[in-house]
Amino acid sequence: MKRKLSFLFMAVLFSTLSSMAQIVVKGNVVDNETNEPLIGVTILNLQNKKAVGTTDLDGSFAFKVAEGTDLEFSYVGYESQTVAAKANLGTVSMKSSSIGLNDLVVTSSIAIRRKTPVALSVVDPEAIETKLGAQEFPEILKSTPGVYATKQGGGYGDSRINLRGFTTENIAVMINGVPMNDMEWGGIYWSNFAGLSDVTRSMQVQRGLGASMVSSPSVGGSINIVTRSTDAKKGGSLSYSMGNDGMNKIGFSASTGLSKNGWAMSVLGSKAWGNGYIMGTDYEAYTWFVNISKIINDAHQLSFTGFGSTQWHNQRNRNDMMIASEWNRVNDASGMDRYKFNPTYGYDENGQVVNGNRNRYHKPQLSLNHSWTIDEKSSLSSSLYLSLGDGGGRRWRGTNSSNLYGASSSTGYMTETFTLWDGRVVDSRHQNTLYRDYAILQQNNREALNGSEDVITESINNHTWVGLLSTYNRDLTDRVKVYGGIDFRYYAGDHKEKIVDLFGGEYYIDKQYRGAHQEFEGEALDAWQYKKLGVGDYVYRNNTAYVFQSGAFGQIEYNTEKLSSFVSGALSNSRYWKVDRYYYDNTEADAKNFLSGNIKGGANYNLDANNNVFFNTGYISRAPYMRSYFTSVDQSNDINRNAVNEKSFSFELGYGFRTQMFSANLNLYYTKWMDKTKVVKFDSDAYLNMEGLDARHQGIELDFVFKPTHNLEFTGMFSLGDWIWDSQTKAKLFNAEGEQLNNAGKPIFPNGTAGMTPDAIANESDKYIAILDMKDVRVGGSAQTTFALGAKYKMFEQKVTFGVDYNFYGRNYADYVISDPKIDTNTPTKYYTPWRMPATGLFDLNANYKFKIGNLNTMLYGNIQNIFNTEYISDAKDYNATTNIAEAKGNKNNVGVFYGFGRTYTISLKLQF
Amino acid sequence: MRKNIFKLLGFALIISTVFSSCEDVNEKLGLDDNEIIDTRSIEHTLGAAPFGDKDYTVIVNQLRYNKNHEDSVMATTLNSTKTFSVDVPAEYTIPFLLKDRYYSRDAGTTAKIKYKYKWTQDETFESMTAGTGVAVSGNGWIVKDLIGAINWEARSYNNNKYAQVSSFRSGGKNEVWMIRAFDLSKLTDPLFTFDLAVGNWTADCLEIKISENFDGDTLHISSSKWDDLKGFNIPSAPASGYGAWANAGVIDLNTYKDKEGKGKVYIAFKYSGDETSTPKRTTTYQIDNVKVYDKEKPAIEELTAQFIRTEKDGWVFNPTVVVEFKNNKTAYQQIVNYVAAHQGVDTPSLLDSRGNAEFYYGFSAYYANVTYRDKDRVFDPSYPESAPYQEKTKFMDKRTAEGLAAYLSVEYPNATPEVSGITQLAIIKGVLIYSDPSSSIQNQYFNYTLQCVGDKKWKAISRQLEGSDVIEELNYED
Repeated sequence: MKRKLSFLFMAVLFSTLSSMAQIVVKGNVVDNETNEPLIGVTILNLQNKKAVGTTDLDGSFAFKVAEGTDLEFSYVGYESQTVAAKANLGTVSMKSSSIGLNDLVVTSSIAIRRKTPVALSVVDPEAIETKLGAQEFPEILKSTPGVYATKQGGGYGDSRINLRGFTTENIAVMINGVPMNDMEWGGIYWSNFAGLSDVTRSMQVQRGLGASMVSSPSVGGSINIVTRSTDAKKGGSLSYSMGNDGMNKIGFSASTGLSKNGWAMSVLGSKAWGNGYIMGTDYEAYTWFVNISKIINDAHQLSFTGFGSTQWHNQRNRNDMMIASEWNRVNDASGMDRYKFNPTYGYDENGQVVNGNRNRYHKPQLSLNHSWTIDEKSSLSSSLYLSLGDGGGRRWRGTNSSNLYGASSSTGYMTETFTLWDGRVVDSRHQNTLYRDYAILQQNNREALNGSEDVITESINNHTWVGLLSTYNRDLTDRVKVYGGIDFRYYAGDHKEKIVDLFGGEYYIDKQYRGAHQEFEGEALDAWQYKKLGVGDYVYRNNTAYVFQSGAFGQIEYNTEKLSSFVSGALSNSRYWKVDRYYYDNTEADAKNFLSGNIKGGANYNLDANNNVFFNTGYISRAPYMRSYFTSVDQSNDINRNAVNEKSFSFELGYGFRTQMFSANLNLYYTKWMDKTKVVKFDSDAYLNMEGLDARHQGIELDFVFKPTHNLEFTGMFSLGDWIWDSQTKAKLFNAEGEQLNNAGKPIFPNGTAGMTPDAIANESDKYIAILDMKDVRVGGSAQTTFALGAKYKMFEQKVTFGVDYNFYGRNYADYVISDPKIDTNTPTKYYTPWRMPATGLFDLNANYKFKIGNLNTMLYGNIQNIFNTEYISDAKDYNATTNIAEAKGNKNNVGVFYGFGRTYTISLKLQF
Repeated sequence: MRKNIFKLLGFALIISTVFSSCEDVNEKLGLDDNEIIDTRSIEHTLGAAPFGDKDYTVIVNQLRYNKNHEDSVMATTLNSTKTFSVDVPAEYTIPFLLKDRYYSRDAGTTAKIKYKYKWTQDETFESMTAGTGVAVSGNGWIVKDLIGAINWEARSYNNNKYAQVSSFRSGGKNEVWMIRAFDLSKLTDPLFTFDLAVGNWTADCLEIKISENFDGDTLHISSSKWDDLKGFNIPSAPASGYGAWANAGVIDLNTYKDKEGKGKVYIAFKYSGDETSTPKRTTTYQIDNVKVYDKEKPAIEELTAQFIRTEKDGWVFNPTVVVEFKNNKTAYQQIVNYVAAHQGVDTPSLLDSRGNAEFYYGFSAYYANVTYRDKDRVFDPSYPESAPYQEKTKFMDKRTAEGLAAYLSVEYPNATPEVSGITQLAIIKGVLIYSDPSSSIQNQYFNYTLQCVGDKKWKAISRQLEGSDVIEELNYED
């Protein structure tokens, strides 16, 4: 169902020929900028307002019409064009309806089919508009080969996406060419980007190495998002959507159009709110977007884009997976829908719903883009950007904090008890409904001897991130083109945890963390440990992490009519440091520089008009993340001496086939991921720092579009992955204070390391190593076999469209828990392939109807996801991967799961003026 | 390198500066104007729910952690008996519990802790290792033969342990002392007793002695002053075999109580034997259930001790009574009742007809204040109505202090001037003095400090206007 097209635009053709005779009109439609064929462009006979045809998979069209008839070519995201019919219309090149996109194509490294040698999939504006519905943003990509997206806990924005088995840290997400992945841990929290679907114009997924020149974490792939910019035409729209579980959304957009002196502005705003499918996951989000463009002259164009979404949403914690029998118990006990159950849902003493799992965030993303066409052969595109993150997630701190999760993260049983200040252990759940009785905690907090025993905090992760990205390109000859650029990023991330609710008591003493620290710089230890904290005071952490990254990149391309090839490289230095204000007296930790880089190359050869082949290969060396560089980043300035770069090597082959009715792509990939470091945090606040973890991801991917008639289109995808962990890994254990521990759980340097040489420290340190044997363990958390089939049928002169999609997920292995290992080099802890979730297939339905109310173009969309209300497991975690259970069978009692959503629906109406 | 980026990204940094929050500025300046103070008073009975024996465990663990001999001995005793005594003073040990359990409390918090106190200081020898040739040791016992080399031995017979001495087979002369300290300071009527069995009597060899100046050093036994404790029934029989166990009688130790202000005495069992003399002096004595106790008190009594958390020393024993008078109508009524029972008997006009106010001290339970108006105080015939203003207020100030003393005498009838060496004080907070003789409205809250100066006798020593730093010394003649 994915339409293969690309962006960008331009040009108008005029025809003065006219004739009343019926003739066969032939031609093809392309994007004016990329010369990519545009598929599914609607061609309307303006005389009788009836559709006469659409373009095929190679952009071609042919139909009979009276000569000279005015034909309107229209396509979402492009300016409509009117052309008079004639026998051979030749190439109709259409122009994007947006100003300033041109420039983004360069910085965004948008790949082009049959030219850029990467595996790619595109989601066009129409698909986003008609198919997303109430789904999470990443889910729009679910029918893309290698993609697995889930809603995790099910809260608004709490989704995740894996690509070729890789998790978010290895998927580069770029918006208008600006890297979005977190500077500290490399991943993406999609809830920070709530409302992104409203401002997205198109999305391109490049699987594997990708075309991006910027040094970004992209061993799994890249998701390039291009936002709306400014519509060239004056106008606007109003929209309203509603759906299951009180889902509502209203939105507007308005555009000034391009003024004579080159100014244009667009704004967009929307509000989304709802109760959430899962119990107690209500949400509210306000999304805003503004774009101001100024075409200064032929050479210079400036564009300012700002967008953000301020949202809050209550959550079901993504760690609250439970074993199947526990979900069943919910059904038995309460008669509630077990698939919607939220194990932390409950009431306080005033009868108000309490949800300690709540997230709020606002991340305005501002960028100023400058495009400078220096001369016919060279240009410079620059983006200066600023991102301001503000928000965090709520959590519990105190005596019962581990029981205040909905479920145990090591057994998957629902947590059922609270321990009161006097040592009594009481049931925390209503016997029948299984709702949590939070009134117990409030009463306990009031009665406790030393202030509140359990409080709600907000774990705040604010950041200020500024960056400059600049790309220069020049055509050296007709065939050789060079690119070069710089990439500077400065990032300061504030990490705090603030008390937001004392929950019945008068104050809170952070015995859990302050009490455990034997040393403290600043005030007297005793006074600090027993300080009474109130609402607004910090607990657990208060620090700022800094990253300064400076990089340069370059690419050289050699293109002939049939061959296009490139070699590119990037070099980047990351400097990490940190200032801690909680456990230290505003003390700066040792800074360290990590050099990283990548080198990539590839070539595409178009055998003929129908067939093309390509390959690409590359080697990436990536700096370790902040969490790997510090042994316990939130609580200590101690650094991990063993932090090394992660490396990956990738090789990929592709084949493409394209005719009028059928197009298909086939890819084979092999990726080796080496020296991955991984930090695991245990309940006891100990950290396991694993080094030298290797993985191998290889597979085969196929996707196709078949369009037998103008009104009927089939799409399909098949992806078979072979993703395994491939090594034994060494691990060192650290306590919360950042000290390395021996097998007895005691620091190996009880008296510190003062006076020891670095070698002596390293020698001693290396004696206390655990071996985790993960060789041949299947990578979890992502279906290794996926398959999709879709059909779309247009009727009533293409005014009504029906679409059905089927997605299949198989060989979907659970994630697994790393348990506290033995610190002993002679006793490796062997891990086995975790539990395999039952394979599942889901049907979605979408329909839309385009009509006019008066003069206004109106569109009505409907979506139903999971039509047959199929029960399936979307996320799972194996608690016992150190026991060998025959693959695919497994013991369900050792696996925590989330069930996927049942049937959901949305209906939307959009008016354009 | 960082400077470079500042140049490069000047524009962006200006924006980011604007966005950096004021909160951070406060943080850096260390501003924290809402310090949370918790002085909620504590009342707890050791060993009671919800902590049970954990109360003792906390103290025992801390005593052991202190790693000194005395504390270890205390830990062992407390762990087995779960009672406090002169050997395990509550004043020293309970603060360990308070520190651990109520770590949130700020200076000024009071804790009233009920605990079991063992008045009886006794020795049953049951905790000792017993056997032939095994000297009595531990529990503070000192055993020394000043002439020969035998001991008071810990022996066991019929599941009973006791101390035994004899010069039989000593081959010479012996002067064996078995000494232990007893603290009489807290006892009102101290008595001393023990059980005795005599075997193979040849001569009277046992004397019971008491010393007030012995210092516990064996080198000083002979140089210390020892009085004989006479009047015990020490049989001079049987010549063969052993007599039955019998109580040796009870001796009054009142003459030694608090003599020279110490109250600590050493009681000795002195055995003088000689196997070489004729007749031989080799009588065997067996001693058990050595006991100092109080005629007036039960063996074990539940006592209450008050502790106060101080800024400097943490939790300390402090008997100071703190009473809040602000809006405490019950307390005002106590004083009205006092006047009704005393001054009001002869002068009924001192009492308001509704029974909730009196005009001798001026306390009104109805308003929870002390009236200083002429129109109220004239009901008291002794009130110098025609005296100058200042003299009248002085008169009333003294009466107020006396009224508070009367209150304390009723409320704390057993108070003594000193508790465990600490002066007994009382702090009465929020005494509201209403108006003045000329009825010009002036309401003022005062905090009074009084001292216990004798049996049911209290004396005001200072007062402080609420919110003021000035302490006004009070010194009223009786």
